[in-house]
Amino acid sequence: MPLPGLERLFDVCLRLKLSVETLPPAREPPRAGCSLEGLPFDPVLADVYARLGYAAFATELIGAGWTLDRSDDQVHKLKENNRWWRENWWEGLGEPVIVFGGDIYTYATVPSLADALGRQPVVEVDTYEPEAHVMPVASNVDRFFDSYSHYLEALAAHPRYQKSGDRELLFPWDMAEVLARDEQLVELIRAGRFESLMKNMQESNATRRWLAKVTGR
Amino acid sequence: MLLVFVLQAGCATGVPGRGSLMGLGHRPPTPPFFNAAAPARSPTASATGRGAGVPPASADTSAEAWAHGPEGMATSEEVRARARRLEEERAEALVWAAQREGREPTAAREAEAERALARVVGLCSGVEDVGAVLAFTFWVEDGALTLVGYQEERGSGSEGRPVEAPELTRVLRLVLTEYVGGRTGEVVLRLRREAARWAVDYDASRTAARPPEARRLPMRMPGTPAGTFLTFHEVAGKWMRAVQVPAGGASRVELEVWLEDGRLTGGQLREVRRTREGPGGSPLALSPEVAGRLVQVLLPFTEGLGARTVRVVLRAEHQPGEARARGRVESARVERPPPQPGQSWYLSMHEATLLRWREGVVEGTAWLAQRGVEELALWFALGIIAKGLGFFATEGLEWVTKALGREPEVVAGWLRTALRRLTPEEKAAFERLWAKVLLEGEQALGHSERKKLRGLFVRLEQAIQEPLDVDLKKELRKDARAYYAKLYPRFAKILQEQNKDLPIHHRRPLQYAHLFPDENVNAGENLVMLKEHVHQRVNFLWGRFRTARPNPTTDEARRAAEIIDRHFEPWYHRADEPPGMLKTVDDAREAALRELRSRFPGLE
Repeated sequence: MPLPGLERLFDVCLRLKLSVETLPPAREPPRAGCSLEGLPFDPVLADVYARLGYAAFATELIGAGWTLDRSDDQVHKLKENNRWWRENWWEGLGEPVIVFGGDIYTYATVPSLADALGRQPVVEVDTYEPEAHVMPVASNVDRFFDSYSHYLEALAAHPRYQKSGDRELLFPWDMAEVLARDEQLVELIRAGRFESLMKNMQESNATRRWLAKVTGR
Repeated sequence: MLLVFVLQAGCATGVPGRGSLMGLGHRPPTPPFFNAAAPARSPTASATGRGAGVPPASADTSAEAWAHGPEGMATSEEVRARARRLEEERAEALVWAAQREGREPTAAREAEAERALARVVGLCSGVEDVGAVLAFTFWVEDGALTLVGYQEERGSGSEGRPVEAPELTRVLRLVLTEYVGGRTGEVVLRLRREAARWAVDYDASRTAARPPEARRLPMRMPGTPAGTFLTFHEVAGKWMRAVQVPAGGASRVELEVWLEDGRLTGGQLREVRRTREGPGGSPLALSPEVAGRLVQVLLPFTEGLGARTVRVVLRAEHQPGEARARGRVESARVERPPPQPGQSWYLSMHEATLLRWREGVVEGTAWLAQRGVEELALWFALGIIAKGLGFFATEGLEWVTKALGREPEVVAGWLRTALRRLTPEEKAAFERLWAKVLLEGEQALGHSERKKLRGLFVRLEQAIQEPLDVDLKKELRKDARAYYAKLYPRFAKILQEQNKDLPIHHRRPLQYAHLFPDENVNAGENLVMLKEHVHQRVNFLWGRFRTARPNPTTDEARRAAEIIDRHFEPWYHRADEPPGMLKTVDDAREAALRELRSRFPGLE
């Protein structure tokens, strides 16, 4: 399966001279649909792990860099993290998810919201809060990489970043317009498919405003 | 022009310290903060640091031994010292940027020398008294010439022949560019009127403390702005008209002139004392030329920095038969207010920002707008401290006033975090208006601007007492992580690598930041790095606390944080498990839970 979003992310990092670290994939990477903590593994994520055992993008931008959990023949972080999440977070979230990487926050796919091709949407989970805060960020993993690459571009183009390295923009918070181009994601949000996961965000005015920007409502 | 620069560069190391154009001397020691005599440096290079008694924050980046744990962990005093050093590095970076961006330092040094030259020649031009001596005391640093004192001694009374200005100019240019301009320290330029020429000598051998008003950056502006010139003329005229000299007698006149940067903020005629009674008759007014002379002496002082007073002594004398009394400026010297904490930081940053304003190389507001609060918070904070809190004596300000009354680095950190709570429009207005106060003076604000700025402080007072919304928390977490990595550079790499698996925890949570409105929730003392599984247990406890106390008091939140800290401290500032621990992180959670239950009845 082509991964144009991931390729774009590599290109953007190269162009902006941002760091990229990768490790080769496992001899037998997790396959699409295989069981991880009893959940079907996302096919797009399976394609990613078929190419890479680990990746870290723009991590010199502390707070903005993003890393893919390592899963190769030496380290099984992907598996370990998902076990930890099943034991500690699934109940609180009210829905099982597969975590696969993150920046300050954890990024996860949601198997129950997979499309006809089995592609699972991506959410950001903020576990700094006593009750996790969830924000939808992409209709699938590759789309997330695409949006994140646009975020890095916007960050680098920001005048204050150019002058002083300030990272004024946050992903996905300041990228509502980019996320709004992900029609499948917008449809899922409009249909209320993330509502149960977002139950702890309902009191937040900022979240409501952000959702309205993404969905155009 | 290139030749002049080469000569200047040469004289930085090999020029005599004293003499009549030639002689021997020594180079005074450079001041401890910002070695401006050194070549332009990058912020990275400057991070090798000279913070008084404080190790540079970046010095421990290579300390592999501390890569995963807190052995030898910094005390809170050390954390504060590191925070100070970080602010100092920010200040250095700003100054460095100001020094380089859009400027030509060679041209600025040349302009600086030409300006001083024109002023010295101007003051010499009216002096015909043979034996009279004019002494100009400059603080010289990297080509910037700040006048700190002026003295005029009378001569024999015999009138000399006219002096050719071009010859004096030639000699002075040589002294200012070749011998004086490349030095750092105090230099006295002395000109003695002889019958048909001026004898010029200089003394750079005196050691003197660096005056706070001294500049480090030469300026390329051609002369005094017209507005400043007119203001001084008007005020000097008013003061001089108030002076009466006894007929045939003499008086000593003492003035105080109050300056802030290049602005005249006020002054007073302190004393007019008769030093010689005349034969009697109506006292006489001073000749109008005296006011002009006074202005000529005062204008070079406007190139200094900050708030200061120039104390001027004039000698006035009436010669029988003349319609007006004559007068001359005997001395003018700068008096400084007592130093304030962080003053050298402030003045350095202030000079850097003021420079764009004075030169107009890059439009000042645009340059500042590109910097942002992150960089400018220290300048804002120190400016607030320098101005005193009286300016903010607005009804309803309690927490803001309290927060602004602390040490500069604490105020800067607080302001940086607190301003996050304003909308982008409010923040932009705050930056614009406060920059105007600092660069042009409080009086430059119009009525509506003044009202708006005070309104923004009131708004800040309200905002810091409101719970943080989710977007603000995310911004502050990002800031906290970046700040922690700067505060503990040895953890920077692992923070990059482990991202979400190594959270930065707020000991007093962001959730309760509004209960501590005068404190910076992102202060170094409130931040700890811990492993995700430890963070999860800590968050579990805060979750229980929140359920039991949905609206806790400040004291309750503080006590809960203390309990949690006590039980989890061994896991703080660690990317691994603490060695030699008998209890597990689950034991810590249970023990903390028991203590929270006993302290907060109803907590489950």
